[in-house]
Amino acid sequence: MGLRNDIAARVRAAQRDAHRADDLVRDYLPFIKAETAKFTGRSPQEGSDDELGIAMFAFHEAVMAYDARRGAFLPLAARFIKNRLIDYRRREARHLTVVSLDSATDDTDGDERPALVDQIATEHSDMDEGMVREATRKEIRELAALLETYGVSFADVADNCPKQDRTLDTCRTAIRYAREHFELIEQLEATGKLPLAAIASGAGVERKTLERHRRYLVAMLLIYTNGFDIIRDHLYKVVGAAPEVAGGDAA
Amino acid sequence: MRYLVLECALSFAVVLDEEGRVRRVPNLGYAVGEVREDIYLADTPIDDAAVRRRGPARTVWWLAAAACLCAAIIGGAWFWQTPRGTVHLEINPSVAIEVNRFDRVVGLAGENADGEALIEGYWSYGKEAETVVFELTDRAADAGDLAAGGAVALDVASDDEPWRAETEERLIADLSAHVGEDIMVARRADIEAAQAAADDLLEEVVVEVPEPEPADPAPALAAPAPAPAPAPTPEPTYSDDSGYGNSGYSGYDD
Repeated sequence: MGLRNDIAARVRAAQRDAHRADDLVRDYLPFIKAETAKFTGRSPQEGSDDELGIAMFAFHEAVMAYDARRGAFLPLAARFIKNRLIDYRRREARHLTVVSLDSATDDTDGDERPALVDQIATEHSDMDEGMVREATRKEIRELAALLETYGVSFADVADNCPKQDRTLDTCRTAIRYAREHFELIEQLEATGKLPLAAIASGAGVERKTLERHRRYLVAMLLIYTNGFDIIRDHLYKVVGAAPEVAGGDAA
Repeated sequence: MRYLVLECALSFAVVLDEEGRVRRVPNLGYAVGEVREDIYLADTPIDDAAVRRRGPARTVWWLAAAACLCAAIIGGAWFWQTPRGTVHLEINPSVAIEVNRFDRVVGLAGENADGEALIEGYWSYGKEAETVVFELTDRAADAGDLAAGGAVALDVASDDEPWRAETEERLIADLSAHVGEDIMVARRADIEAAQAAADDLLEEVVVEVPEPEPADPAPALAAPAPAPAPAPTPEPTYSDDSGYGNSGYSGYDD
């Protein structure tokens, strides 16, 4: 009973913080591996078995969904792991006929040839790609640090991101309006507060909708401030094919 | 869709898609800063609430499946049980055998007292019609109702004329082979026609047989029959009274 209460308390604490939930996953890794092994029939290898990654994520989901009034945590986690692995296996089965670019091929002599992706001629060299990757990482680190000053993490943004297409469209409209009126983003940077009323009235969207997705909007608007060109390029579908930072880059 | 990996933890990664969605996904060996298309989103709801939401749908699904199963069973039973035709077998214990679409017996009844006696204790349900016809004929033979020189009338009645004709022809041929040449197997009408023809033939033979001659064929050669003796005349009796003068004689009245 004491052990059960201890787990429940840890789970409750982890529900407020994705990284504490991640710590709980680390502590319960043997349990997660055992549940994965029950499903796959073999012991999973950390870092190489996708099933173990799926099981860890399912455990994480179970932490977030747990309600102590409805029973013990570990049976719930076991059920989540099993269901998620079933879902993963079904999806993978649909793609069995698709040849992976990462898969190695055998020629007629039985010698293994390089993976398909290595045989395809690309315009970019590995060096260019590495530089772009490093630049991207740097941007992401800067964005994470900036978000932290607002008390927001990427995991929070993911949790606060609209799930429905209609709500997402509303948020896009608001983001587009704020980009066109860059003073609103500057106001956010200066005060640390999202000018919701101005954005809602200017963009003609429901303020309540924006309030429900405040952390998401903060992250997206901060991306449109200085220094996040690569991430902005990735988001070209949000505001159109030719993203520009009105006033931001010029500043 | 291309996803930019923003964060990687042990149990999850955070990715940003081109449309601005930020998602928490399983970390299947991703690295921060890489752009991937093969992200497993794990977006199928598997929490208890989702299970509860699926509950009624699952119940409805099971009810629908159960209803379909019941309909299939009832429909199948009806389809099985409905006779396609009736085989009338007259040995002369007479029985009626109901046959379904699968050529299986679904009903058996005696059409006379001997027929009732013949089928008593005999289980025919589900057997092939041919088997039942054979077994009933054998039972009748064992009971002494059918011997060499006998006849078995077999008729099939059905609304499905092609099936009726085909089944009747097949059963007659098979039963003929089963009982041998000493016993005639045919439709009742054919047997009656054959019997009528035999009777006609018998009558014709009787007509042609000459009348047997009498024991004494030459009456002319016999002695003439004696002339019939005249009736004896009563001897006149004489008396003293001549009778003359009797009123009845002369006709004269006194």
